Amino acid sequence: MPIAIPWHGLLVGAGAAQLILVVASLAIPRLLNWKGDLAKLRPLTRQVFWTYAAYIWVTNLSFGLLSTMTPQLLLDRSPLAGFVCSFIAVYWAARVVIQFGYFDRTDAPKGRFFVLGETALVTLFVGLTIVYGGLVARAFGALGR
Amino acid sequence: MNRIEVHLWVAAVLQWLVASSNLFAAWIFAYRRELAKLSPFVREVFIVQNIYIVTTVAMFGVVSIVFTPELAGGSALGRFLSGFLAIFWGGRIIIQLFFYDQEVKRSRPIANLVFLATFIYLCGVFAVACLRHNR
Repeated sequence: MPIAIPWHGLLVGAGAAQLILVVASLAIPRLLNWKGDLAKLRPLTRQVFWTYAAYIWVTNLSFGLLSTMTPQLLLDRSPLAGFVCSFIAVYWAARVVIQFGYFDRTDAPKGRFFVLGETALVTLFVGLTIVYGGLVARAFGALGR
Repeated sequence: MNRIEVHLWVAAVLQWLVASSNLFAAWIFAYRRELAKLSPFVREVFIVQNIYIVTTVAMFGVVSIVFTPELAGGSALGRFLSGFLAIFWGGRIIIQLFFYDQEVKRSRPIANLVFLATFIYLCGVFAVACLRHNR
């Protein structure tokens, strides 16, 4: 007997998790002292940094809003829904790869608070990859309704 | 293909050009020398941000070409994406006008105007696409 996967609940939960991430990520610039570091840059480079940070924040916000407010749009198995879920899945999967394969973690802040924070973040990124990746598989008929 | 769909194809090409312009910006504004001033962790964050933005904008171009009818009012998700892209590029107009260094813009007036016109066009096309209802 096939297992009924609660896609609607999983997607709304993934959206809520992204909204929590969006709120929590507002603390990152202060925790990592971005302002002090970025003061060494020319104004334009500094402005580009803040612009990109803001755009990534808005993109994450839109993922959260789309998933929580209108999950049916991503659940309708349309090619566009499959494409959007693929994009979000790759977006978060890449973030896991970057966390372990690119960031020089010897320079990262130390202490239990930061270790817990990193563990929570990586768990979230993996979870989001699984949920949106599952929706891609579902859009192609590989998983249950 | 109707008129808005043609504009969405043009928008796709413009978004690819904007994405690729980031590669030239890295060279023109000597990012390598600039980033050497930062701590390694913040430098890595900047590079990751660049990769994410370039990839995301390039994917906006792909979605504009592959899902043109949906973005032009053919589906609710397509209209949501068009609305998101109108806000995305609308925000970029405000940033270009009021946030980016005036001195740099004055030293490159043509580039500044080309970028501003591109962002206005993209914002307008996606706003019109979002407001259409084709179903």
